[in-house]
Amino acid sequence: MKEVKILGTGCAKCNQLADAVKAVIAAENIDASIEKVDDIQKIMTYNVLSTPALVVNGEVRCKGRVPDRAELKDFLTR
Amino acid sequence: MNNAVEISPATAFGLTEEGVLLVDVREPEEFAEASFDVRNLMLVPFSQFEERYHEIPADRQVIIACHVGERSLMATYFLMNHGYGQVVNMQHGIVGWAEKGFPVKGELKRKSGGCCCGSSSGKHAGNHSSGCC
Repeated sequence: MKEVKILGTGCAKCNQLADAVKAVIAAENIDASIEKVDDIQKIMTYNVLSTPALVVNGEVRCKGRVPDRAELKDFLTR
Repeated sequence: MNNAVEISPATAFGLTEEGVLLVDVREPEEFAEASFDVRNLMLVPFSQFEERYHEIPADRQVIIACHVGERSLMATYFLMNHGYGQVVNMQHGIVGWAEKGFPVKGELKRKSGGCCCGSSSGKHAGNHSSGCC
């Protein structure tokens, strides 16, 4: 199972990314857990300044933007 | 990761009076509106922080500040992750600083924070309508 984390302090773009990730996981039937991380200290363990960020299995896949559906699918299935 | 050291505006003011460097990570348009009126001040915008953090001296105490204290907390952890051992975050940002009556140049109009979202591109930094950070 993939471990997916959405890093962000709770702004609109962070929520957009979370919704988009959930949609792709559901549509592609991906076995994944999703966790939203809004604690700054925890976010900074990934050394990410620009949020929202997407972490898959401990690796930062993108930051500072909401990727489109195709890119998200790639990030979540690669 | 160790917890960041966070200090109040009053403590920060006392340190700046002793000559400690205050690093403001707000964006230039925020800085133009109102800025900390302290002796040793440096502007390193959050949207450029990853590229420019090395301009901040690592061998002396520095206070990191922003509008309400969230971007500066992220910047503080970022510096800690890069080996800065004498960095502290000022809580509540310039808003808390001004509320306590400490010196500000200009007029602080915005009460909500800037935004950390998408700041690496700079496109969304300083988007004050989003209400984040």
